[in-house]
Amino acid sequence: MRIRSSHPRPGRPPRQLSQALAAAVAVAVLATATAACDSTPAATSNSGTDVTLALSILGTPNSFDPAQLIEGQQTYVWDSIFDTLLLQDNKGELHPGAAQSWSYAKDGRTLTLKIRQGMKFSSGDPVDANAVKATLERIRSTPGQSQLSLSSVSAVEAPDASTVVIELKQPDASLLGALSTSPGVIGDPKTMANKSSALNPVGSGPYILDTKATVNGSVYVLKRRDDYWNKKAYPFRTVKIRVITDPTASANALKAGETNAGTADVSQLPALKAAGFQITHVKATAGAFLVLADRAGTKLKPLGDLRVRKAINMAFDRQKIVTQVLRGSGKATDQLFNPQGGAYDQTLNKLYPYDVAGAEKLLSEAGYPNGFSVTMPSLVFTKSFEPIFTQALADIGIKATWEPVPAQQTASAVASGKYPMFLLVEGLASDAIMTRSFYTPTGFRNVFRTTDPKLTELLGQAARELDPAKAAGIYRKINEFGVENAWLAPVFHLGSDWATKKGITYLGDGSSTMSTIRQFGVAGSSQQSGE
Amino acid sequence: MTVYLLRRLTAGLALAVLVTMITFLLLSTSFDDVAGSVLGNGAAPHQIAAQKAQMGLDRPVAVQYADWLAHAVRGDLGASYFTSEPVRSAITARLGVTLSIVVVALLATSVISVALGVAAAARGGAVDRFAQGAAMIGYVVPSLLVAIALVYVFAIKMHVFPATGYTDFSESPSRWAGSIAIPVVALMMGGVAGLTSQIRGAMIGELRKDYVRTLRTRGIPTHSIVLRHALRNAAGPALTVLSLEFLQMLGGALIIEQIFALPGFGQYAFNASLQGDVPIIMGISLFGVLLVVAVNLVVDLLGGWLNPKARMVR
Amino acid sequence: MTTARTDARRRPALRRLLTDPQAMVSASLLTVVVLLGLLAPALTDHGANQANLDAVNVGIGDHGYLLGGDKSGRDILARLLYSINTSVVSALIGASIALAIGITSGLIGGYFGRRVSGAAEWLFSLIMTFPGLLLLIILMPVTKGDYRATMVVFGVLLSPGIYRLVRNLVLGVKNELYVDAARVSGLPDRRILRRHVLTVVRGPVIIATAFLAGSSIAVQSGLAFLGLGSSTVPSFGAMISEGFTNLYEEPLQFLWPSLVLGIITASLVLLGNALRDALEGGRPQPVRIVTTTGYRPPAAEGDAVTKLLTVNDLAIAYPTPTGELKEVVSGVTLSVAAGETLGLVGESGSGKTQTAFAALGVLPAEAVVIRGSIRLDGRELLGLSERELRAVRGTSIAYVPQEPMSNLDPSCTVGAQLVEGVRAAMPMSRGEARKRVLALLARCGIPDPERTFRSYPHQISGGMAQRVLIAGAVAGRPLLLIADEPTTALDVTVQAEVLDLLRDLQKDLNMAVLLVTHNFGVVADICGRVAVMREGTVVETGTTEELFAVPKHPYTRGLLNSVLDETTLRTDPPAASADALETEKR
Repeated sequence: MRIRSSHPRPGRPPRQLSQALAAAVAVAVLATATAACDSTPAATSNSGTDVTLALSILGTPNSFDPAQLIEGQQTYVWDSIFDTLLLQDNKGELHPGAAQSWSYAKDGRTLTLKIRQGMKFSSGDPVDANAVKATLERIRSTPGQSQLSLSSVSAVEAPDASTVVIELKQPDASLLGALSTSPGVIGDPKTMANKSSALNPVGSGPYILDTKATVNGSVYVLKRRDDYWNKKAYPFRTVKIRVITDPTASANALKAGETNAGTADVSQLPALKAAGFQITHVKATAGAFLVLADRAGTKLKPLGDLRVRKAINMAFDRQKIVTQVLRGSGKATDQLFNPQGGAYDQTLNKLYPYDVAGAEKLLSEAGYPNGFSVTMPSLVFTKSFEPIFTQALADIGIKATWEPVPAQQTASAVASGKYPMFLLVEGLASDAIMTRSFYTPTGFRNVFRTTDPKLTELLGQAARELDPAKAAGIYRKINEFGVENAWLAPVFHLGSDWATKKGITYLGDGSSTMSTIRQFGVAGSSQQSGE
Repeated sequence: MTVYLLRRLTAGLALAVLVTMITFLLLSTSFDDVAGSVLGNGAAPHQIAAQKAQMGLDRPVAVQYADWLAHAVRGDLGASYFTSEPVRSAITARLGVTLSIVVVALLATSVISVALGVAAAARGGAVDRFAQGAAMIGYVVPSLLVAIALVYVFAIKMHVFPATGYTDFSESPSRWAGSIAIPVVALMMGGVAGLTSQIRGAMIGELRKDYVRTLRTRGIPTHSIVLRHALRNAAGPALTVLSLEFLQMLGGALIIEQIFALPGFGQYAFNASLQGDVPIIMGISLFGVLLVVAVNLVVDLLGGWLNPKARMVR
Repeated sequence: MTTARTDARRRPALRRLLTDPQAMVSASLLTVVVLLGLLAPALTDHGANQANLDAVNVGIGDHGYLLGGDKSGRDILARLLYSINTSVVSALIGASIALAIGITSGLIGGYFGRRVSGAAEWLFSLIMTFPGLLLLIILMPVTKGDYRATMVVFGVLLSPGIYRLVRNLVLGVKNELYVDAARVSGLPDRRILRRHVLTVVRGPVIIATAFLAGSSIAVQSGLAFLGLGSSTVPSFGAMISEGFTNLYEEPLQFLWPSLVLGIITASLVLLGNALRDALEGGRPQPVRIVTTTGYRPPAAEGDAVTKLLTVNDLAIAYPTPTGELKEVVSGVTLSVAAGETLGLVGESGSGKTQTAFAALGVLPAEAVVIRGSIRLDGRELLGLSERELRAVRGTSIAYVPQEPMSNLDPSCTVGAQLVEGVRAAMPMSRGEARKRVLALLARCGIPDPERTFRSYPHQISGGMAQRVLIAGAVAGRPLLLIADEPTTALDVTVQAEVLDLLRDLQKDLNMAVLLVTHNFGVVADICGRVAVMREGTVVETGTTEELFAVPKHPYTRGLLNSVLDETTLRTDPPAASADALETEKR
């Protein structure tokens, strides 16, 4: 009797399987590798106007309904789709846009605009005075940010196809500037009230939104219109705007060649420079302002005392904050206004030197030798700066507590009047708009509605003055008033750094705070933003 | 079976109604802020009131919810307050992104965990120590760090995978695979560790059981005993862990999506919550509940398939 | 029985925990970390929010900052230490809320009526479906961004898991005898819950707590990473987030908090696992299923092969905790001729099952064969590889186990298991194998083979299952069948039937049977020869008649007498011998 021998067994299935798997993985990796190489996006071909601009922005654009446009980096998208009546160049000066010319009546209460001929919406319909009137009317009747900018308008008329007349309740020096941004866009009257316009806008601007290639909230692809009247201001045939909220991710996208332009954190600059990016430094695009809002001392008595407000201004070692915390990408200042604008006055920066002892002395004189406590709202953008502000205030005896405010309550929390002082870190705007927000009795940053006879007089002058050069002088006086009375404790202006791939240049210098594709040029070619 | 499915689905729908109702109630406390943030900075109280009226937020909460529900039943989830994007299509588009990452991560997690866990349990010794060590590393090493390291090597240096963004599968399967590769790895890290130790433990328990020895005495090959018999019995508890892992990954996807600029569900939900975009939040809680209900159902069905006893109990 | 066992296990549990390196390392790491947090004010002069403009991003040791400064000029060490406290508070709040809600409702839901548990069940599945993180974000206006309030909400979200755990445990013990007894004796529900039920729930809840704490810490950090909550509360999440933006310049700012957070969560997980091992029985160590005997007997002498199975001087030992080897089989010699039935008799722990396993090559991995030889049809089995053994098993040597239920794969149909065995023994198509299995089932006395074929093990009776196992064993027409107490686990009425079946099969197939049993009744019934084992050695061998008539060894006499004293056949608890083996090994 023999032991039955084993029959032949098939090989070893697990091993075979693993080999097959390994092969499959290898193929997949190769496939993706080649695919990724094939499609290296945004490769700058350097053939002049064929360059694609691939830009990353930090926030998701809102609705493209002409009445609901919002300023900020998302302006890059809608400003490319819509024409604005006026154009702001990179110095912040106004040029003809969809309106070929404009003129004010002597009393400054009637603005007449001549509309350019031959412009067409992407739908093929012509752009005329009626479209302008319809859009302005729609903006005026739709609650939103643009509506506020047109609050001085009492009526809009279109006497003929190329003329628009805007009647004002009172002279408004900020109106022209506003007409170069969201309140000045021209929407297609036929479609702008439709729901579809929110995602599929019809405009007459230099680009058309390629809705097929666009992924809402993520990638916006713009195709240039060849028949656009101001084509030469837009050297890029295709503009791809990517929404990347995380700064590290946006730097990675630049380095990986997925975008070719974008702002970058200072810490990223050396690496980007090494990777061949051109860095353009813009000195001031935003600012950190401690708003000492309760200047009458109704909620927090100490703030009613000028000495206390001055003491707070002296608590900050502004220069050191800029060099250490901002790593030099910014500017120490005690002023609110854009350093590139007319209101800014270099000499005012000397008013509040860093002086803890002096600040403590002022506080003692005001009757607060032991300081006081204050609760401030902790907002989305202030979070990262709160530690240094807390410390600076603590150094002169003021104990700051930060109350977390959910993002959706940011506006209402600040406006509520609950906080006698609060920190703002926000983008700079034109002198007129900054003045309106922070100094007029109805300004939304003037939460406690503070007024002062001297200021009221200046504000009146500014509103009536239509000559930009003269207006600048008045704003400067307003600025001087604000700094001397320590209505705020501005600490620094934040700069930003644009990284652009070789062949693309960033043309802005911070004079204009508007985000437009016109700020990007192709190296070596001259380009004008106006006519 | 059909009755069972119908019963589960009805229960799921009832749950969806209840969850969305509670969500709506919670949201209704901050309707003022919502109207305010739609208007942006500087809106006057009367403007906010007008905006609220226009959005229908001034009606009684019950009426508003009933209205939402009536529309939702017809498949209309409304549109975002801020972008006017229709909620249903917006969510399905973004869910596709997130599910791509999560499902692939889940599959990869299962494959790796099963391989490691089974090898550790069946081989012991050095293999076991390696698997346990790998699990340990998965716990301790921050997945963000791994993600960034992978981005640096594969996206920035080698240009093999993109550093940011998402390509739809329908557009290009290979680029789709590339765009989710690193996020998937980053998302998997913790999950592999947990599931591996779960499977290892369960497999050790199974392999000690009598039937394993009996199967051996029949001349059945070891790999069949381990994979066809023991693993199937060990998979039941692992499945529960896996379903929890799935929910956790949905949460973890939020951070991953942010870092890789992926237009996903988590990121979308997060922004909507921050903005107080009521229609989106409502849509998300509805989809969220349905997703959880669906996952639980699938897990129960799979569990029944794996464990005949559970099938009988039902 | 359950209580006796858990109680017996609990006492050494603490000691086991203390000697377990994983538990000790993770617990001491956690203790050190928590202590560091508590001692933070003493360990560092700097507050968590104290900023020094000169110390922005300074390196290790500068400005008195042991680990350097962060991008706002704060002491990283101080922030780490204070972040520990935030994490600990988060863990405490999240876990205790989840435990309070989960245990209370779990006890109520499990112990009291269906209606209560129905409502609780419903409520908790509702909580479970809430998109957790999202809810926490939506609730920011309500919690005012205070992480403690957020953790309260999160605790509620965690409670369903604990509820389920506790409810299932309570349901399990509710109908145990001792709880019934307590109830009958008139103890109030409250006291029963506290005295009897809580003790059962305690262990698993302690384990779950470690995981609850881990998730709470992870969620708190996650929210802080996303920038939600107060900026003045030091938190790993916030530190990681800040470090992340600064990653390329100052990677350490990212690494430190990640590392500490990783250590805390990993320690919690490991501690949880160690606790589980300690409380729910030993740490599961992988056991290689493939066990090759390291020992190779010297080449056989040339004596003629007369017997089918020859076991010569076989000795098997197990390592004791001290590392020495303890013999459980020491020098067994026996032989089985073709077609013969040998009864291997002995008390539990006498080494008979070990001998049988050795012959099959399925000794546990820890077992060490010290010496001896096992020859099947002249071929040495000791030292064969698993692959060589596989070829022998099923076809030449087969096995019928003692406990029918646990020896069938519960998730595989009876048919599928048998078909696989048949095809492993003899290559044939699936269809053929199926036919063969059906015929075998019928041959083994199963009334409706088709139905049994389709059934899962839990759907058939113990007697049926044993017939199925016998069918599986004889499927490959083995030369030798090793049956290890094949009737012990069965009802008395079924025992005789199964023995009849074995006898019939043995005749039909002309196979030899090695019948391991402690039961002389069985031996008398079926065996031609008997070998009596005691403490690892065979003390007496002979034909059944001889042995029953004139037992030579006093031990045999004793055994026989004890059988004769009993009027009925002895029925040991089925698991006894296996358990005895387990204890022997430890």
